[in-house]
Amino acid sequence: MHCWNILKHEKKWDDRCSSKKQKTTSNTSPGRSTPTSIESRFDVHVEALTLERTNSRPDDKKEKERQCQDRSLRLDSPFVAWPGSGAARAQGGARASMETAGAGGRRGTVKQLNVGGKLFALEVSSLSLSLSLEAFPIFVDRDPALLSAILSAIRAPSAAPAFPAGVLLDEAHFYGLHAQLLAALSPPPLLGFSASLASTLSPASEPFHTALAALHDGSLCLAHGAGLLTYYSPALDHLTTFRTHLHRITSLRQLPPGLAVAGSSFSPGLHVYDFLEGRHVASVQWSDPTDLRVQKAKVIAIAARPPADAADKNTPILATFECPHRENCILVFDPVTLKPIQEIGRQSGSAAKSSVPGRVVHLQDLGLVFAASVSSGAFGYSGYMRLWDIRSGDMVWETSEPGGKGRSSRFGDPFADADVDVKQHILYKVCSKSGDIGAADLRCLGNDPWVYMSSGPRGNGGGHGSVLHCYKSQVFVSRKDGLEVWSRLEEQSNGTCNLAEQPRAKENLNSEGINENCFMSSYVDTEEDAKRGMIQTMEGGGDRLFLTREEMQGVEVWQSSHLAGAISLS
Amino acid sequence: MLQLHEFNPVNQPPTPSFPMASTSVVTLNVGGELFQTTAATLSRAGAASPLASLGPTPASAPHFLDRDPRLFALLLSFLRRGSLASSDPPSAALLSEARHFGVDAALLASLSPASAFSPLALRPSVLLPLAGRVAPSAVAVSPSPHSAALFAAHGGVVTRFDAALASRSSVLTPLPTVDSLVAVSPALALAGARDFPGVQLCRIPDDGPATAREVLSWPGSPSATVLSMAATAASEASSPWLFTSFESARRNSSAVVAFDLNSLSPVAEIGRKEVYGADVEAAIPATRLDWLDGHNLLLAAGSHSGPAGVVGDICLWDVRASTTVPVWEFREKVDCFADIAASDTLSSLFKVGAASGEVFMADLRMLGGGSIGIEPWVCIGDGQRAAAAASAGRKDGNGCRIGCYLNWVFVARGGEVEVWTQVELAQEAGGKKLMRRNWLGTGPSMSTARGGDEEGVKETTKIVSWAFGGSRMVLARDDKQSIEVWDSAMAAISVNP
Repeated sequence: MHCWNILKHEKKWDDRCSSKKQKTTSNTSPGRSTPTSIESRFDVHVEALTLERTNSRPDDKKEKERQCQDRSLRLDSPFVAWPGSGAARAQGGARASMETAGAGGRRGTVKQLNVGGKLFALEVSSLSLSLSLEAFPIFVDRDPALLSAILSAIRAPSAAPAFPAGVLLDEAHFYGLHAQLLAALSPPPLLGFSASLASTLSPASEPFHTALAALHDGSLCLAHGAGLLTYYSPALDHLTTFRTHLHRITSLRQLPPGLAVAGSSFSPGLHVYDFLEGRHVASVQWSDPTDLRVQKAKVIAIAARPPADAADKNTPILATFECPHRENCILVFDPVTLKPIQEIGRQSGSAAKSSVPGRVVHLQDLGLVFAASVSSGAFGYSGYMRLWDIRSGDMVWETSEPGGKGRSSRFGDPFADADVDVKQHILYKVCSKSGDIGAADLRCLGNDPWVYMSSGPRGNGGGHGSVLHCYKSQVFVSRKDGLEVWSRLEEQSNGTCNLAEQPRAKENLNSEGINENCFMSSYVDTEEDAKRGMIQTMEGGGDRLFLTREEMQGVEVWQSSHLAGAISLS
Repeated sequence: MLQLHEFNPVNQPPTPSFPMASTSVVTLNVGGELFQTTAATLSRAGAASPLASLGPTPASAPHFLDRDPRLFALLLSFLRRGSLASSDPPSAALLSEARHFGVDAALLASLSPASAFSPLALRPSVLLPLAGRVAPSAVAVSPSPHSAALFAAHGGVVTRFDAALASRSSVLTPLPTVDSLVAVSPALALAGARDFPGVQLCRIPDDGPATAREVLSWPGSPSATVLSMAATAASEASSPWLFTSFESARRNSSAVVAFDLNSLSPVAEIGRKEVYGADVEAAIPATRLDWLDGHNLLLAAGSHSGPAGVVGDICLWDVRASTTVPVWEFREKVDCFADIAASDTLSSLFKVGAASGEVFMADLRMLGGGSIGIEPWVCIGDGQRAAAAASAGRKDGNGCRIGCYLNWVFVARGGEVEVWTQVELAQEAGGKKLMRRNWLGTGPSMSTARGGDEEGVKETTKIVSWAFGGSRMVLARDDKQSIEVWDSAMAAISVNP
């Protein structure tokens, strides 16, 4: 390391890096996912074994043998590693590759790498390492054991890797195999009815969660203890823990790349932290020059979760602010400049119907903002749901329970929690007394749009304290006696859980509205799991469901698995 | 077999920006297995290593090394990456192989690098049992350029654990008990006792028997006992110094003596104090020394508990300027320190108030030249509580310790450790620097909340001594026959039963 520290500042190193950069830019290979990965790693040493082209003509017989061997290896698998090692093999392989390239015009399909004396052949599309125009194997001064561990992890995803995942992912960055390795290490698609508890993430210090934010790539940002933020990578490696200036973070969202938006219901302002550097980047306040009472507003809820396939990276951040005297509104921020764009739904906060929304969801493709507020007490639950047009700031639809404008068939059974499925455009709520799930199609909202689903293994807990979370077209509902998931039957038959990818299912929905018979509910957890405590928050990210329980340390990670998990009885 | 082609670096077109000598491929035949690497990688083993002399070779004529190829593969991987790839601690076989190639120091240093230290990721990782029946009284960790070897003093025995926490070696000192322990390097620790004369040098070399023969003592009073010690960081330009606070056996004179640790000779006598008559409070000996490397300052602080309360004396010495007049001196009367520490990176002094138990901070840049009377301390904890506790004459800070390591300040309260982090707000948000508090581990709230109903409840006893080094925190607890090692481990997933 010391030598490296000295070396990296040498001019020649820079020269070399820059010369290599030029080469890389001139050569574009399709599999490149991280263009700067090679230059940023220090151990880059690409050295061609010197072979004069004229010198390396062997006799025809040997050449043919080599070609045969080469071809058979190539057909076998996209990743071929010669079992033997050493320079002799490397040079032999070099000649073979060059000859095949010359003869069959297959140059570029299989690339040969001499990694620390061991020879690897990889399909070029799978490898981002450039300089593939050379015919002989490229010498890379790196650990061959790590590359073979990466390749075997990609080939057989279920096997436990021989090295820590973090080390392998770091190394895979160099070869450009990071995305493939990450996919191999990720769990299969999340199916609520077959998910099981995979692990519990527990930060080292003060592991009492206060908020969590997951991202579509499976990474998790966790707020815990007194103002601590911990970030877990998509492979759930602990990357960093740092202290924010807030004393307790109660709302948190990730703002890729590398930023976290945090708010606290105890101190004012919305704060942006760079969690890779552990640095405070900016803070935003709700201020109104025309109204001096608007000051020291605290943040109650944040919505800043761009969907995985969002083409528009500039999805605004939404946050609900509440002043000490309960005046509140939804503020829309630009994610780049962090300046307020618009103020939506300012209200006095003097009654339950005008209290600050505890949940905001941005329905980007509809241009709507969903806001819901629930308050509970000895009298039971009361709350409202509203849909706002984000451009005009007008309210589009509203319902409040109990005793809203509309004639509710479930009078006296107000909702305990509500969420909206952004892809399916369905609004879900859980009733506080009966515990029934209500669904409403966003495209035909009226006075009483709710379709109630009462089938399922619902226990006696009702809906008191329930948390509802929509993720991957499934609805996760926590109850006193466990975690329930509602999934749609068509999805199951098609083997995929994403409704948006199935045009037929969507047509059905359009013509018929919501059919309560096609929803099936099942328990996710066992009774032992439920005994650990009531579920406090749920958040889906990647193919994982993160949940926290009251008075329990850490975050539970639930995911589907292909592993049988057999328990040995002997 | 295949015909191999001659590799001749001379025939290569000269590349002035990247000379061939450092880039060419070196082929090694280690126990029958071929390895290829570069001379640059091998030179990371250090000039003394047999690997550094291996130059570029043609692939047909590799260097032959008669060693185990499996172990060599791990060492070569270490040289390439700067750390071991596998998360398990290295085996004894790997360490002895590393010693053969002269990379054992680098290998041990990479196991617990100070750059990986993150207090909020510290969790208990290892308990190291100690031989005998005496509980540890002092612990120390060898400082940063060296590997983070652990020293623990139990009774008169000083035991060293290597940075891999795999091997230990002990040495018997003439002291019946050790009160202060300073680690200078993995091979040298210094032990002193409050009631026995002299500083004992415990030499524990890797090769050869451990000895504790040499003694450093105050030339003015050879029977003087040792109150506190602090060592300067070793640098290439100068040999490390040791500052030792001595008090004469009759307890009527005291001084801080600086020793050169290479020549083992006293260099300077700093701030000699004599007690005349009964005026003990006029010459309080320094019970706490701390060296500020970046500022070239020595913190010497002592306190005296009398019938009128606790009185303290804090001095900052610039040793090069004067050994008789301190740069800054402060007499503490209200909420005197229970413990005091100096942070180099934060350029501040920190103390725990003996009465309030709250943490105070004094910025070195705001101290001013010798202006006694201006209150330098700013309470970074609960200021109102501190004022109330001080006026009520409480003793909440009794037994608290404070220490600084890298960018953090640590406070031990009973059996728990809290950490203070500096948080800097963005420029547009004011750019203020705030100190924020957290507990390490679950903190005391959890121990009480879970109290009794689970068998996993860990009774945390009082922390007797602690040390920070590398990526670790080391604790010695009251009446525990082992030392506790906390590591900022990267693994955070605990697999559920």
